[in-house]
Amino acid sequence: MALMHVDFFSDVLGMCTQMDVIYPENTRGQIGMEGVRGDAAIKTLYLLHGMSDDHTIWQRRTSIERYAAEKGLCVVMPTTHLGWYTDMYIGYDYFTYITKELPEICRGFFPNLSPRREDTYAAGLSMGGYGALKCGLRAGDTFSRVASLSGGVDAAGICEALPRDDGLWFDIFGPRDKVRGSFNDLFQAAVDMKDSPNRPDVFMWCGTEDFLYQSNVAMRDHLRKLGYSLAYSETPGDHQWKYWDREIQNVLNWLIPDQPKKEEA
Amino acid sequence: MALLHTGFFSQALGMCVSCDVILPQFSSSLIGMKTAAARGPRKVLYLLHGMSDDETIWQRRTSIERYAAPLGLAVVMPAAQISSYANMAHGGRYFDYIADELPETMRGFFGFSDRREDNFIAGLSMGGAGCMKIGLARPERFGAIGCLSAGASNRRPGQDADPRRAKYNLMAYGDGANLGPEEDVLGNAKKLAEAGGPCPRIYHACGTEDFLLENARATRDFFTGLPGNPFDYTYEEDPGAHTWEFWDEHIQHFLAFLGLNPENDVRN
Repeated sequence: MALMHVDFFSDVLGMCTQMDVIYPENTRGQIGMEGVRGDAAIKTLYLLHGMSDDHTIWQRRTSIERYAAEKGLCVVMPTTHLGWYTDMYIGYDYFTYITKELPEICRGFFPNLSPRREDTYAAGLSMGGYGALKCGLRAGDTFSRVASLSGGVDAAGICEALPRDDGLWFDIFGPRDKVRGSFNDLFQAAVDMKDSPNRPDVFMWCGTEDFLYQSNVAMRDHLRKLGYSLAYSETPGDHQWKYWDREIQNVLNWLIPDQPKKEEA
Repeated sequence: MALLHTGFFSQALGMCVSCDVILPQFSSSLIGMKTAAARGPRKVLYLLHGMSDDETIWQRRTSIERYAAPLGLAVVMPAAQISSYANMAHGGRYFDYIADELPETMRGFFGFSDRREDNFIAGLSMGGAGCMKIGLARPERFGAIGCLSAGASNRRPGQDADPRRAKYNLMAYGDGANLGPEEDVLGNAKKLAEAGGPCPRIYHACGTEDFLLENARATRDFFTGLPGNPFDYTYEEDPGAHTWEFWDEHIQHFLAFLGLNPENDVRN
């Protein structure tokens, strides 16, 4: 695998930004690991960070490069600050950036990335879990499979619990009584998307001790009732990297199941 | 423009390597700079560092990203340690890595053009001799060479009296008995001229205070002695020494020498 730290300009954000990209490479003779690069157009996973983190965090808290190496998968890790993958009420257009501009930029930089929705995925943790589900439910023409780990899936619930309209949450989502039923409400998005040919397949995991557990259960029941293809699991645990390190491997296996090893020639 | 710090595994060297890459990117709202991005496969410049430097140095000592931006040109800056861009007698196969593996790897990552008219190689000092070596050994791959502050060879009589220099030469060439065909740089040029090409165009510049001036002049005399100037050889000797002020200015002269016309084949 190749690891690339990319500095570039986003017209949508109107500023310079960064992403880390893990790119498949056929390697022989590298110790402790083999890399795979198939002949087909490369599948891409947009891997999103949570609040407090940035584009480097998946590299630093997990072994994502090693996990992705055997899948022949490209992993794109952008930074979106505290933007909740949302075109902010007062701020930057992070949703448009992630779902429209970033895939276009990546396919421009790396022409061997597949442009097909069948080969384009999103995953993330916490805020990034919300972002990944949003990619599938509001930009299903681009993303076919999305995975949420400990996702902040109930934006309306978070906002409605606030005492007043101000601060970061207001800047992101606007008046707190207007979030439910809006574009940024994933429960509404799931309803809007349920009969679409671009309805995504969904993977969800949450720890049973996580402060977001109840909202994840609610989303699970909601998606099941609407007939989504949902791979749901929960295990003991709270909001920690040791679980995300394990579960991102399950996400990769869900996206690209292990192939039976070829017999040695 | 985008700047990519890449790290990947090189089969030729048997180890992980670092390479900085500038990719053309058109944007309408970037301040203070014009940008362009080509339609179709991109033209690319392989830009080599000198002794003591690495893949970051062109970024840090010049404004190469700004110079490349309006041309829609990608720039690949590999690290080659103190290899003399040679298949080293005592060390890695850096010629194979830079001349053969790197272009293939970069095309795999970024879909660069594989036409020789769209592939260029330049460098300074060790990288100046390196780009002459690589460009003239792989003329089917490179359409132009930009050699700054170097000759086709940077070796000089008496040089081995300097123990550090002697060690570098020993590392790269050993006793000189088993050199690959790529090391006969001017011999390769002569053969190309006699065979009728393909001859990369060559831009060559050296400062009048440069300690490698005699090497540069010997190379100049060789190319100006070829009937009909088959390499479109252009030589500039300007005031200056072995310093970044000279390279910052003359890499821009080389980019102009390439004659890229973004008006014709890019959107901007």
